[in-house]
Amino acid sequence: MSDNEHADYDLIAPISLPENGIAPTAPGSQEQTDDVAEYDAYFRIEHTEMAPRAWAATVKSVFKDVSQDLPETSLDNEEKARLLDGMAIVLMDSLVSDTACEPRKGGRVA
Amino acid sequence: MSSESLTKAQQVAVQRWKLGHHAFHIYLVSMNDRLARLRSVLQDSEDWSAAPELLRVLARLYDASTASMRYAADFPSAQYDGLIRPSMSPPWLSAGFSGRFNSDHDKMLTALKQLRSTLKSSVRRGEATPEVTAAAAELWRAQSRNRAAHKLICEKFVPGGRSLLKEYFENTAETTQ
Repeated sequence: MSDNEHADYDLIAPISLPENGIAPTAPGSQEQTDDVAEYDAYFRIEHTEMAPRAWAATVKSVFKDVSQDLPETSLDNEEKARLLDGMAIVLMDSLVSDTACEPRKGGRVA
Repeated sequence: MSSESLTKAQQVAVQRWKLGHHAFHIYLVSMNDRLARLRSVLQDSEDWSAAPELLRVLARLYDASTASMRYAADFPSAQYDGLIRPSMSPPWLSAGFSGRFNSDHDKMLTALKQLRSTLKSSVRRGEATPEVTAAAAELWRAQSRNRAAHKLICEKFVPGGRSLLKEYFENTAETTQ
């Protein structure tokens, strides 16, 4: 008999618990799904499969509208710079993905 | 319902609130992509040379997302009280509507928490280079700035902090007592 078994006096059976310490549940209750759907609908967002070209178009459209409005806002220069820096990163990413998906024409990079 | 029924100030509030959230989501989705790449580097590879740059760019995207929150909230609190907040309440939306239902933000926070844990373990084992540690510190500072900015925005629009979700929980507790 091990030390633990001796201390339990055979009164306690061991149990298993999830390794990550989180109770297993179905992936998202219906209420959670409804909340997310309502949030997305309110903000006019549709989560869907997207090709790189469609992603690039979305990014360009949103950032064009924001950057056109930016001079009218009360954001300070540092805030504007951070917003625009983020735009540059995302636009570059979308350009690289979009270009990588284009078919090559006559040996030139499209 | 057409925008012609709104004053110019109301139109600006609606546009900035929703367009600002669109920009916010774009930054979040970009962060989630980089967080997935970083997880791949840290967990599946022995070569961590790409990690510092990924961490630094994540910090810049986090700061950009903070600035997009400021943009989304750049209108007078009178417009929030009179137009925006009611649009997020019954009968237009369910009671207790909250930014917590932002699934992209939820994914980002979960991935960031996992990243913090992975990096802490690697620091304890003496595996994280000074460059990785410094770049990670920049990211945690960007997260702190984001939380501080969010608090200020909430205080601007809801002094005393009674969010729609809190209001819903309080009302539900009162009716069940």
